[in-house]
Amino acid sequence: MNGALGQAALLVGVVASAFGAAAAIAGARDQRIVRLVPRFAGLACAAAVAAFAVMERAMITRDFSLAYVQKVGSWSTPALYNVAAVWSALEGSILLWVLVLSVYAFVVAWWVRPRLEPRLGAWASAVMCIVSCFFFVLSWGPATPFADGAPGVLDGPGPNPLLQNHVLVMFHPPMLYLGYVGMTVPFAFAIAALVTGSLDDAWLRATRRWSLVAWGFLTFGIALGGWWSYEVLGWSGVWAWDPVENASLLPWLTGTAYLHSAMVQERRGMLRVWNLSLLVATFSLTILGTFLTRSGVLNSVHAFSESDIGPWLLSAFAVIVVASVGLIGWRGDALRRSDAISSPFTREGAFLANNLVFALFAFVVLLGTVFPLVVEVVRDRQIVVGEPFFDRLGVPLGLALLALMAIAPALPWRSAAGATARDRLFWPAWCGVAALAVALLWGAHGLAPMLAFGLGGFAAGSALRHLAAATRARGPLGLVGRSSGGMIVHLGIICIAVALAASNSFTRSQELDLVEGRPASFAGHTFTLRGIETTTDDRATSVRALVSIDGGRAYAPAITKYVRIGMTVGPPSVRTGLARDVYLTLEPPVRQESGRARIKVFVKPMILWLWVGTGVTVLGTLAALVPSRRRDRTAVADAAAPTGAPAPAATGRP
Amino acid sequence: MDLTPRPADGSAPRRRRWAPVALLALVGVGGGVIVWQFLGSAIDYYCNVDEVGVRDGCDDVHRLRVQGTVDRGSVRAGDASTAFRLSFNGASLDVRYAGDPGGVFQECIAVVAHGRLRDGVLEATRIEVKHSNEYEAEHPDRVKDGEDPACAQAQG
Repeated sequence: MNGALGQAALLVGVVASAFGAAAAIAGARDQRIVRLVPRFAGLACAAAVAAFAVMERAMITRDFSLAYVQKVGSWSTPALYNVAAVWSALEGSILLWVLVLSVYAFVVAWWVRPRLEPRLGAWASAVMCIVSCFFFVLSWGPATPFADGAPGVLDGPGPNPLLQNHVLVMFHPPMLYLGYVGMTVPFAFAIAALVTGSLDDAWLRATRRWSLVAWGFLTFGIALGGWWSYEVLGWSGVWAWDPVENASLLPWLTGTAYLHSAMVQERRGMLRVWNLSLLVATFSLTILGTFLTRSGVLNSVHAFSESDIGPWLLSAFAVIVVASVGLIGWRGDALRRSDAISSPFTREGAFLANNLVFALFAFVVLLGTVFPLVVEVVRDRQIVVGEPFFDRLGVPLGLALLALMAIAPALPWRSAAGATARDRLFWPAWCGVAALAVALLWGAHGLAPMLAFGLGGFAAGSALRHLAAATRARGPLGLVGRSSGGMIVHLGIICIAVALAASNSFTRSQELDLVEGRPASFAGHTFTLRGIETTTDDRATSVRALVSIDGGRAYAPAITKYVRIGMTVGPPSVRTGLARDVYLTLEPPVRQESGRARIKVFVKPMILWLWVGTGVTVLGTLAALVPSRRRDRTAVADAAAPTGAPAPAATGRP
Repeated sequence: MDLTPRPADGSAPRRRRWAPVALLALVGVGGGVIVWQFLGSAIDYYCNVDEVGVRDGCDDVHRLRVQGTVDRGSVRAGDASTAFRLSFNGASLDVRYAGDPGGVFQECIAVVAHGRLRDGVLEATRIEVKHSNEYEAEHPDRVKDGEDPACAQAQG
């Protein structure tokens, strides 16, 4: 019954979103019809919620009549991981995508009508509904999770073991999808602006918060992925330039570039084609990333499943790119502006440089990710582009971004004012020198990490200078609003960058053969084996070494064999500290009666600051969502100004 | 007829500034060359053991990721390195890894060794254990080809 219910719900979603798209397109001419759009979008949303609920019900009740439950369900999977098992393989992931997208489409359909020029809003809803319809079709057809399974199956293997031993599997994929899918909203408005010719900045201002929300979720989702990798995979790292990781980084890079260049368009009316191109790139990269990682064309440690949806996604990618480029070309004359950036030492000049670096970074990551695919097609050879490629190019680009992060906030708009910039950069520069001195005293060495510390201090000083000035002027309220929120985000990103530089450059590791009760030392810490435990249940057999660090509580790195899948994983155990983490993994073979265990110890500096930086970035994003007084004044002024396009009912409202 | 030359006005065609364009092109070409060189030096070729020394790219010039099964009884752990033999489809290759592969590495499992060939021995810098049941399900022939007969007997 679950299968029939789920398929029926998805079919309702297909029909409702198709009708929603048709009503929106027709409603662009007839305002009476456009009122139907929120209803169709609501129906599609309800259908997606129903389909998802049916899938959860099937997973919770272990309905092994469904092929998907046979693949990732099991009676022995704990409740929490059983809930998350719904999105642990391809079909469920697409269903989660459908759910998130239909919620966005519904909210946009309701939100847009009283706020924007009717044709623009109608076309934006049309694009949202068309994209929704595509994913509903995908989930209903080639990637359906409701297909009948083989008869007589009473139990399954459960989700991949890597997805059933850490609570982050509950949060990482949904957060990531809220980010990925959220990028559809600004894309939809960009396409609507191109179709309707409403090429003033109203659509851009109106969707600023949508872009920011999607970017915030994407950032949070990526960081949670790094945390999951660190806590689960046992290799002590957070980022491996894996194709799936790269697929999430690509839209983040172009999305971040857009958040900066959008400000140039709002303030100076420039970079219009560039902004539209960035939104198209961001959205199409989410589709390309899904194609690369879910179609099975590239190997990845994250590729938990493969399917035949590749041609669908590749076709969608091609349509998006061709249609968008065609529309931009069609509106080329209307988009052209005669203004030029007067000097590279202006805010807009720095933002342009920042955009070029982000674009180059995205190009490098894309090249390294798809190059194996090209070689395989052309030469029938399987290759992989290793981490050195990404590291060698990514490190200087990251350092360049840190430098721009320090300098750009100090530069004025429109005209270069050397004295002002020098004055604003004086204390931040000293912060950079101080950070460098602290790093040297701490024993840091090497050009790249030292540059990261110095530029990180410089950029942090610049952000703090801005926040100090804002709070002097407005009190605690100075900490919220677009620019202050942006500076808090900068602080979070700096924190992450410096922590990555420290942990990648100064990690120490060694294997220790421990004998029960006999301490061993490494990197200033003592490790004592207190015992070895074996636990067995119907899901897995786990051997854990109880190791106390510096005489304190026992940590328990383990080797766990999941009996149903026959897969062994080595979950680490981590002592987290402000300055450094002590990361333990257990090395086989381990025999409980021997009283001996070999553990691998990694001492990793500043890891905690990765997660602190993530939290600060999220807080900054929230602060940037709060309307600031200056922006409201700008919005009112712009709304009053003649634009040549029909005036929106209102602008600047959340 | 007035043949007096007209004074230059704003409508005269502006001279195109070639210097910035040339500089940009130069930077673009230089950047492209650097990226291409980095790309070339960071490529690893995937090879099965039986392709080493036979197939294009599976040679001592390139970095390799060699897939095979660890032979039973071949693992020799030294003070600073571990030596073992990989087999695939009837061919074998000696591997020397600087350190202990750790993790769930053991005999008779499929692994991917990353490294370079030196005098017919793969000097590995990283050992990945392939343990995905999905891999086996999708490539049963490969797994069967890769099985060491001794391991197959032992697993029986």
